[in-house]
Amino acid sequence: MNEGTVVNVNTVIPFGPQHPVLPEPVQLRFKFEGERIVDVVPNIGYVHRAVERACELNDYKRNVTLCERICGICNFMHAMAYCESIEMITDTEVPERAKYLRTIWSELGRLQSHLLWLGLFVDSIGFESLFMHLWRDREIVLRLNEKTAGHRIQLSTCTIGGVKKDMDDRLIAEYRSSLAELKKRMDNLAPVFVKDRGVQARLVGKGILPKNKTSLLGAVGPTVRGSGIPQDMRTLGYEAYSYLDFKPVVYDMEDAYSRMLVRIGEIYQSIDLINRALNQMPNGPILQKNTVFPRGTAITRIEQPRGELFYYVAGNGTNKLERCRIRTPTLANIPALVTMLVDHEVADIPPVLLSVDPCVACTER
Amino acid sequence: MQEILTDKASIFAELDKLRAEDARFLTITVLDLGKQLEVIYHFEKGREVINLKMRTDKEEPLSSITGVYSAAFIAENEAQDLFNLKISGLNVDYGGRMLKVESASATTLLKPVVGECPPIMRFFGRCREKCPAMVNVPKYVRQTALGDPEGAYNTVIEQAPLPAILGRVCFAPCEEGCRQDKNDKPLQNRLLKRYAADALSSLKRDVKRMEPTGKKVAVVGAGPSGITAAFYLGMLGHSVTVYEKLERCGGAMFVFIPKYRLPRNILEAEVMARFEEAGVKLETGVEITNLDALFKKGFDAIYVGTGAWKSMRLMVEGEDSPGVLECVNFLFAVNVHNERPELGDRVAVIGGGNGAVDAARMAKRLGSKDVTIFYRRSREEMPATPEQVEAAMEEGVSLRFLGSPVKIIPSKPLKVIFQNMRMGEPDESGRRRFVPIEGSEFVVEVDTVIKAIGQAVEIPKDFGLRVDKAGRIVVNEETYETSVQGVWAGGDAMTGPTSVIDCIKDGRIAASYIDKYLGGKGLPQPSIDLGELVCKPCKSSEILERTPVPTRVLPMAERIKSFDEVELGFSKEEATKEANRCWRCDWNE
Repeated sequence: MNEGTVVNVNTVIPFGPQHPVLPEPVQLRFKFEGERIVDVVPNIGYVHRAVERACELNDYKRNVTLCERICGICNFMHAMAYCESIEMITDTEVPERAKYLRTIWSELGRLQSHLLWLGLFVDSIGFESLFMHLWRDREIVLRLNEKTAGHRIQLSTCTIGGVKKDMDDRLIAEYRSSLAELKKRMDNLAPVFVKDRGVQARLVGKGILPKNKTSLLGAVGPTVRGSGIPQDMRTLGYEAYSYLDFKPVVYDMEDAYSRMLVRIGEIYQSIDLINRALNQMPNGPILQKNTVFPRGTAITRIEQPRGELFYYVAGNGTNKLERCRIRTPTLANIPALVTMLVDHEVADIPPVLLSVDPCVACTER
Repeated sequence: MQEILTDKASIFAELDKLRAEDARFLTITVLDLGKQLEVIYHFEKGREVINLKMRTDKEEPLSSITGVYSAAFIAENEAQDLFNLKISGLNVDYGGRMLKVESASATTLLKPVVGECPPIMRFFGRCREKCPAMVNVPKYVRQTALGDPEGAYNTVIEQAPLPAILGRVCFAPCEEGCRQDKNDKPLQNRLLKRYAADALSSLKRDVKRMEPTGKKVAVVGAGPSGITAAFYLGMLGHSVTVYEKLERCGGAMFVFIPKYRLPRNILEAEVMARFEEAGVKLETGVEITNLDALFKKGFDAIYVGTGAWKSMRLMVEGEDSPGVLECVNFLFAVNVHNERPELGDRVAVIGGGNGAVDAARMAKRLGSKDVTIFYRRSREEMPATPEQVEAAMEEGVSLRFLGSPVKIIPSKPLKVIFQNMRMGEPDESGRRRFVPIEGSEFVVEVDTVIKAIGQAVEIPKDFGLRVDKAGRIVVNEETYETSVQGVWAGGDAMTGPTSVIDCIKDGRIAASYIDKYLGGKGLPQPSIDLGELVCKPCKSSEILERTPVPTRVLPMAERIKSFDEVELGFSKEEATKEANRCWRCDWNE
């Protein structure tokens, strides 16, 4: 080889479906030119579970349980989105108190999801001690879940027409004190993310998602809010969000660091939202029984920790649905992820990949 | 929510308009409308969802929208996978395999055509999976339910050529697989097979053999595996000759299975019917001692199904005393030579297999008053089928467990010294060990002892086949070919004593590979045919109300006096009723 000659060697590196950084069944095939990524092909479908098909075979009421199990992290919101769709086509009016309870549990889900993600994210850039701190603090939320529903993750409290469980004053007081404790701990930890130079060196300028390309790529959730777009389904005012004076958290650096700031901001925001909801929550019934079979179509969009969740439900007046289409936020973020990764080096893959918070379990409905 | 109806011509104009307005792509939903598919493209503009609706024929290809919205490739590939939709011009095309799990193709969201209801998914069914020969149990059950015993008979013959015999003697592993076992009583598949055979006027069917191939195959031994191999090879067009040492065919079925379970006229009629259909020549009373002689006669391939005939020994003192019979010899004398040996009043049968139970029931019929089966383990470990044991107990045979003989004193009457055993820990094979209890010996006085502790295989040395330590023929596990080229083996000679249905499986597999060796294509693999027998799904409420049909049996008093068949089988009404109980586990709506 003569000195000074640059040889471009095309190398293909498969990342996954088994990989220590991302223990989820997704494969990304990277094409490299030297050290630089030039192309990415995502491969999903390793654990496809045919939930959409099962939703057509089950009784529509049993689907609540099934939909709740699509995701292990944001399960409550899956059940809620399904219930909202059915309520929409069966004209079921959900009682006010149930709306507030649903909002509280959704935000608790977001809290624990963001804390989990932050832990994994800093772990991917080698900050293991921070990971331990965050997952310890996440326990506060999980214990609240356990006290509310008897289970740390799968709440199973949402049902068509309302919720199954109520809160008493003692539990509400416990929510307030636990969330205050969580806020205190976050006050200690958040500056580490925001100010630490090591974290900044790994994240600033990595995984750029240009603001003008987001709608074309169909990206959703904190991923686009980190690119300066105030896209948040909670502004649609479903459940009790319309009473809570909600404003999305937006940063506009367009990179992985910006997306991290969005999520940290949302942790504080969620704590605020829950506190406000606890203050405003009226007394009253929590369940309006639904007596008719679903007929017609409904589209429900709600904001999950990872972004917009989309449910299209078509009923034909029987106890089985005609079609139940579920589009999870990670599925929508894959095209954006592919664009973000191009032009980076191998070492940047983990933080950029995790910056969209991929949840393959959801994706493989 | 705003809806825009479009078609293939105008969709791209609409898409461009949306793109100019900076609408965000959400996803694609496809609905099955029967002949057509409805494709809905979801977009978001401002806060609102915009649906672009379009209809397309199922076969027609669709153009991809990834040229305008590149993010749509995942949704389009998914539609391709789940609805069999053809989409052209995709920027990333996974070719219908984006979903990589093997069952993904079975999770199609396409709906069945209205009017009839063919199953979208079909499984083998637990009953069929349990059957060693993979007989299409769900199919023949359904044919019986629809009143087509002839079809049911033919269905069984696809995998096992002896339905009438199996309907009487099979251990029916399929019934163990039946899901109704837990609920009530499994579907009585064995008796349904028997009904299908009994309902026919003649067991010989009107079927055509394949064109003669001019190849000659010899089958040594006319037992279940030999009969099976000969039948399928004959049907495939080979000219087959079966050599049998005894004067009658049937092998172990003829010698061991008592007449009250398998009448000899039915055995003979069914085997001869199969042989006539397949043009098989049968030569009885011919003992083959050397395989080379057969090759010299011009045979191209040989199947050895000689069975397991050597009695195992108890290894105790005095087991050769007069009055101690071997089960094989005893059943041989009764079943083959029609002798009625004098057994005396008290008979002890040693062993726990079906042979022991048969020998005990036979002794009862020969006039012995006090017949006891001694088995060294407990009832749970007994290899005999529970129904046979129960029938024997009904007939007055008593059972004594955890007793092992240690010595037989030759006197008149015989004195057998037994030792009590206790169950110990399970060994490597999972069966519990039995440990003798010191000083627990007891003496039983009997007139006759029948040893029924199993048989071993003994192959003539001149065959030149490789055998294992236990004397069984060593074969290629897949093809059943032996160490000698052109020689196949199966049945009890290869596996040691098993059941009729296991031997039939061996015969069929060997026949398939012999055919391939002779230049044919082999027998078809058991498969799931989606088109077969379209029928309405049954309602769960209907099935749950149905109760099992009781089996009719000969009254006890008549039973022990004669060798008449004990089970009486189903009438047409009973068979239809029983077959309708099937839950159709193979069938998914």
